[in-house]
Amino acid sequence: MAFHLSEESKERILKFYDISQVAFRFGFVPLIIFLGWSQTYPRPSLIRLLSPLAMTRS
Amino acid sequence: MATIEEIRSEKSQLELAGLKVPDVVKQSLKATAQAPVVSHVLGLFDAVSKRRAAFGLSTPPKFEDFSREVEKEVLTTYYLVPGLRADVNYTSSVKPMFNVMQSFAVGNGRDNSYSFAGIYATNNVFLRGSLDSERALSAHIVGRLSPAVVGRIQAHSSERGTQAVYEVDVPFADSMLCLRAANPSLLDTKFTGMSSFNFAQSITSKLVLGVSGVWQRQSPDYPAQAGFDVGGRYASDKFVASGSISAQGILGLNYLQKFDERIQGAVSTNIDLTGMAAAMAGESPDSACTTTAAVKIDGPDQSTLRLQMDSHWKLGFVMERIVADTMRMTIGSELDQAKNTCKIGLGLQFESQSESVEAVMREMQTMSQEETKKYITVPPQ
Repeated sequence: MAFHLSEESKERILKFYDISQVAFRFGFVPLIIFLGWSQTYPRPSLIRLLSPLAMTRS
Repeated sequence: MATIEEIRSEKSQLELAGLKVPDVVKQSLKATAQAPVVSHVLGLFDAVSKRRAAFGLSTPPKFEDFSREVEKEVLTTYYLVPGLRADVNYTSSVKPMFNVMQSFAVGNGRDNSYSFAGIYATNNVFLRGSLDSERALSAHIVGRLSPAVVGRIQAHSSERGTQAVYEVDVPFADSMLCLRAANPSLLDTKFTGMSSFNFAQSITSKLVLGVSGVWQRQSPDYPAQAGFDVGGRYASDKFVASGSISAQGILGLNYLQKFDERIQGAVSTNIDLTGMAAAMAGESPDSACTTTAAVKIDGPDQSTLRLQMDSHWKLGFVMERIVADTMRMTIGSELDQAKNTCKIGLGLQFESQSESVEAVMREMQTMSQEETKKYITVPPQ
């Protein structure tokens, strides 16, 4: 199984991969927070989700 | 459990697993099935399926989970976190499940000092992400591809790169297939990465046999490696015994005995038959064989005590206890007599919920088990 890609397209794929990797690394947790925040009712206040002190207060 | 007639008639094994098969495929399969040779083979397959269904076997656990009760529940290894650790957990909603957790840790030399994790789950999807203070992400994405088939992606991404593992679990009526690919890449002229399968088959209602195969090539310049692991598991109400031997020559034997509702004892032996693994880790050949004995005792107030001792005179204990309504404490220690070292760990977990979750919890206490199912999320795992 051999795939012969030109150097240029290989570079382009790697660059795209690098960018998507960074986007995934920093975007995944905010995505979860956004999904959870938007899909739950009543919507939780962001400060309770992000601050550890506010989280422990019940 | 499907009846013999169901398996014999229109329902194929694929449909039992909950996979949707398009009509076009069904029709072409029907046409193929009427060809003389194929129909003969299918008849044989039918007969085997009929015999299998007649045994009334259930779906076994995954091959890698054969010794799960011993390794993940009784041994302290999984629970002991050296150093100080505090987790703050906030449950915002139960359906869909939405949780955030922040962890602070010091003095263990392994975990990062701070991490933020979020969990979002519905009945079909499970997402978990955790970003730590060294900007490394671990992500866990699980989804149902059909009511029974579960697909899973586990990724770890840091500045040094990304590792990703893709998995599919396909449960059948009396067997379980799990396919996995780690870091697959086609960019370097040849396929690199690791791919593996593991398969478990129920033989009787208590005995399960499993086989697993790995094929890997780390870099296109190196030759590919392949290996097989085989194993078995015998589980009754009172005890679970399992054993496996891997291609590298490592024999693992595990035994769990349930003495009581609250007390479980386990013995786990790992023997490196070739001594290669110990040599590669730079350890003496004595450490090629380790036997660990452990006890787990559940206390009346949801507290748990785990005690452990191994054949290299390493002693360990982990105690978990609910200190206050919202706080759980874990104390653990490991004493290595031979190396003269000691590890100690203290963990605190704070749990809190939003008002709506508390209201649901209060309501659920008065409900029957059937009714509570409407209010809780059962995500794929």
